[in-house]
Amino acid sequence: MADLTEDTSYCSTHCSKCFTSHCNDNICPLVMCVCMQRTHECKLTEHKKHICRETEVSCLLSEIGCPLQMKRKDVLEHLSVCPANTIVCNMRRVRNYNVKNLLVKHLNPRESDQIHFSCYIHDIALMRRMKRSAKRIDQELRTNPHCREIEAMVESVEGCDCQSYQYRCPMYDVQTGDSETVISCGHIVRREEVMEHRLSHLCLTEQLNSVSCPMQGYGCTYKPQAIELLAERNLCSFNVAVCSLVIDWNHVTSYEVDYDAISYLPPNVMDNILDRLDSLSMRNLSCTSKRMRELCYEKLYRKGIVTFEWKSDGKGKWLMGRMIWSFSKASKFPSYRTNAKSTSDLSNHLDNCKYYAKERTNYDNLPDKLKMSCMFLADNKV
Amino acid sequence: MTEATLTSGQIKLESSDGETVTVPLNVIKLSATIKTMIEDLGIEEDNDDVVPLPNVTHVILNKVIFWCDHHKDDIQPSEDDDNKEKRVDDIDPWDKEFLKVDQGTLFELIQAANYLDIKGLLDVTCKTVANMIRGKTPEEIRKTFNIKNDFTPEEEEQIRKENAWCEE
Repeated sequence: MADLTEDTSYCSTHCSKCFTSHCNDNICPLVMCVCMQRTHECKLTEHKKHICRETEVSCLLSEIGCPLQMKRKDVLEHLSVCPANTIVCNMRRVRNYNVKNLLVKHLNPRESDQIHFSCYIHDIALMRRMKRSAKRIDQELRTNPHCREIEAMVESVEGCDCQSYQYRCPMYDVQTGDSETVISCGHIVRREEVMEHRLSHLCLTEQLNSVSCPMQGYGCTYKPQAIELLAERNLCSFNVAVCSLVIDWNHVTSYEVDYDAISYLPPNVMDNILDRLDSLSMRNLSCTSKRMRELCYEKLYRKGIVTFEWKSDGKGKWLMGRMIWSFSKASKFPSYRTNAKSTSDLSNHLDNCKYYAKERTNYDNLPDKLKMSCMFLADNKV
Repeated sequence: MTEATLTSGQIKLESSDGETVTVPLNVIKLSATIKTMIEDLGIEEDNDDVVPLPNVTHVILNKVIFWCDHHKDDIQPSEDDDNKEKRVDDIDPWDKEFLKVDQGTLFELIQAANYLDIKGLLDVTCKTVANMIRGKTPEEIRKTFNIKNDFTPEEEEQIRKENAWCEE
């Protein structure tokens, strides 16, 4: 809250109490501000400092890195796209790791398995980085001669940018149990990107077959569809190189080119193209060449995120270190619709699921009175 | 220049390789460059004056005119539309078919649309390029556009480790 006491330089006691914009008192003349507000002249400075909607002010999050200035009336709108207004995604996925499955998927690749396989590689690399790896998996990967290629893939991912980035993030977490591993996402995204980023998790979950019939364990393969992407081609894949789910957007057949035309486009055209890219694409484009990195750098304030590096002072206190500007790993989705029917589909399916009705409760061991009521309920389908 | 001339007249354009093309004014009016030129200089109907376009070859010029002819009756987007979020998945099916061309032609179309200031054509070609960048890894982007990696090994290693810009 701004301190209002510092501006009490009103010319009279009248002015300190007068709020009417049509005051007839002539002690202090009425003046009009650029925002069309009329006030006594001696109050104009205070009005501009704390109230005027047309005055340029710093972003509310200037303390945590946003360098932008805007009119006071635009502050709210800016917050949704503010580079300092970031959110750490806390979505988690539970996975069961098994080297034998991994090897089968590697040796007999099917398109539907690609996403599982990439996820495995990413997660194992991450677990190693976090020093939480399951020793059993590690040992098997390193000693089994058939796993050499998989081991190489894990190692190549282990040292890359996305891994170290997540490693530094305090929210990032991996919990390893006996057979299941919980991986939290930990990606930092801008507030406006949260929805789409969560959607990517939903797509991933769906592809990983996690939304399925509760009777899956008994052999049911039914799987309701929760999301439907509306683009012509909507192949999702988990891209290990960028550690993120990506959508295949390519509508254009790419021909081989023998010269680099894109680097010589006029600045306004490049601007038009970059404005249409999502954060993940900006992030990837920025590491292709110096020219592209320069162009992407100019878009950082508008499309990037700013975070701080935290340093310990050694006495149990955390200090803000360097400011780190980057592009988040959120990717934009083609038009989609969520299938609200999916839960009702699942319950309809359960009515007819052949795996559901198989086992009837054995009432024989129950006390007589209870047995009677249970059988009555079952017969009457209450 | 009256509105009547703009809807009924014709104009001659000369491409960079010396070919002359006659275009109805109501088609080429989509080009802000030519529209302004006609309005400022006042070209009379059935005049023999030829407008030279030193940056556009006749192959590209014909494609541009073909595009303008298809879109001549479109409602022109207002200034407000510029502030709307720029989408990429709303390319008109006709445009999508029209832009199934090799990359060289695509970039020449962009240059021509930029030079002639045809907003609709520039937007749709830029969308197409943006779609070619999306969802690709840095290496795939380089390969698609033949971008030369001019980072030093040290710089590349640094970016690989931390793709960010730091301020002390």
